[in-house]
Amino acid sequence: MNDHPQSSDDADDPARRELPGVVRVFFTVAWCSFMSAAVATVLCFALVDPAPLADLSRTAAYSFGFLFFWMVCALSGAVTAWMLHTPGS
Amino acid sequence: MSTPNPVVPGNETDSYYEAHQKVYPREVKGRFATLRNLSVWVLLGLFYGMAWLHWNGRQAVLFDLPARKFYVFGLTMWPQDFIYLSWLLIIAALSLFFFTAVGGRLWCGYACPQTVWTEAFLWMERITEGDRSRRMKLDRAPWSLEKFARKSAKQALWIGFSVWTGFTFVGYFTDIHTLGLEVLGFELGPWETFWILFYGFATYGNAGYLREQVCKYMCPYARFQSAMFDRDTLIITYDAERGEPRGSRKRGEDPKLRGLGACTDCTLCVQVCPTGIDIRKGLQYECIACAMCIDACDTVMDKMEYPRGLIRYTTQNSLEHKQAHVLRPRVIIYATLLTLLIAGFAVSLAMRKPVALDVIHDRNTLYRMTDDGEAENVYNLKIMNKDERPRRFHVSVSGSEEIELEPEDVYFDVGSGEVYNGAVRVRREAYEHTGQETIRFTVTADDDPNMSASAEARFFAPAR
Repeated sequence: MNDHPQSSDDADDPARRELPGVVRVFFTVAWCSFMSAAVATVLCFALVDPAPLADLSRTAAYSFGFLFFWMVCALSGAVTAWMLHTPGS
Repeated sequence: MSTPNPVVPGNETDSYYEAHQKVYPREVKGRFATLRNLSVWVLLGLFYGMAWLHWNGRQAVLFDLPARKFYVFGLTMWPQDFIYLSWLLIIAALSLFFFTAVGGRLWCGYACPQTVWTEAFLWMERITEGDRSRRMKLDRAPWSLEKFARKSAKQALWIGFSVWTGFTFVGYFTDIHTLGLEVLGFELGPWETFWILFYGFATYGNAGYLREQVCKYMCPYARFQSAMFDRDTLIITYDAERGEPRGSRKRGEDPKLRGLGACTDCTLCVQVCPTGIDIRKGLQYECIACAMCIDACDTVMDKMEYPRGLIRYTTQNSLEHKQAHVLRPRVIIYATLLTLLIAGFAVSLAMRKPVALDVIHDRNTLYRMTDDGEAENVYNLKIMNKDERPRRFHVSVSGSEEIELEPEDVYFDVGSGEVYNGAVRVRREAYEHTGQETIRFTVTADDDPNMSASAEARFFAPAR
């Protein structure tokens, strides 16, 4: 695919071969779900106007919507990370 | 024990983490540094300035989320125009592919918000804490009054700038003048406050602390950009053939006599690197192609009176003395797709009807019989005037011959950027056999016959 080395010292630097730690998993999940939630929020509210559905201002509905999507996406990411980590690995 | 590598808690081997080492980029002057500064000024100027621009009595660029309308200068976008936004995003993505295939990571080096804001935060760090060596010394030094004063000054600048950034960001989604007045009067809503602080904090964290780690660990583009690369893509690289063997030497000394290449091993290229890599080790995925090492190396080459370009923009093919190709299949494909998409976007935007119509049949009664023995249906017309000025629309209806509006001439006045809800009555005599038909409503601006929209609806009536 690619003629260039991705990193010149991947092979000889043990520090580069990182294992996932709890903190790393936490931030990876938080960040990836943030991006997915942003996309989901835009798509959802482009199609659905929350104003007639809930007794909330649109700003509040969008914000709750985003936080909700973030939570759901983070849940999926966290469970994925947890499932990948089989006992004994 | 037969385990080859016993893991002992507390032993160094149980952590595979690379301890993060703070990068202290050295300030550099040169062609590319100037270009990047220019880019930073233009882009930040656009971001902070454009929110305050006015157009026809409203904010020029406003993604008015509370009202579900996007304004971009003369254009008003509605949720129905979502396709244009998606289209624009596809164009943006393809442009990124195109520029990456031709020029490498130009986006990362000059235009990415992460680069631009980091540059601004570095500048604030420099004016409060001093240049590279002073900053390193300050961080190593024990706490003193001076250290406290310098660090506080930096934090004050960073936090102020971050909050201003958050405020401007939210100002693109709700009217910035109103937002400003709300801030001054301490009347800011809870969500506006939350998002200003959220975005401000993200700016502070990303540009102040995470910096190159965002590019190395968080950025999806950094992960896949190499797929767009080929041997003719512009990269920043060190000419090892010319530079090696590296070594220090006195000015004016002939390196050939000492068996040295052009690299003086001054490590300036490493010191200026915002991601803290050594470009002489070859192309690395951490390299954001900011070209600071080119500037640093060029100043040294000038001082040594060597030709410039030991580190330079080049391609893998020309580095290997092979023929370089600008027009390759992937470049041609990206360019063709991009041209088609942009042309299609421009055409469809130009032909976009600034009026839209929705028709909803009255929900309460299907039909009503009048005293004259005619069936009457009531419809709710939703007319959207996306034009820049108010219009008067004439309503007409077509269907079978007997279909007519009651009264015959109906006009609705719709303000600019407004949705008008109006009810109309349609009559006809009862049907002989079937009990319904499809009719078509058309609204036409009375001063511009081209500005019209139509929509279908069902007409119901009992059989005679």
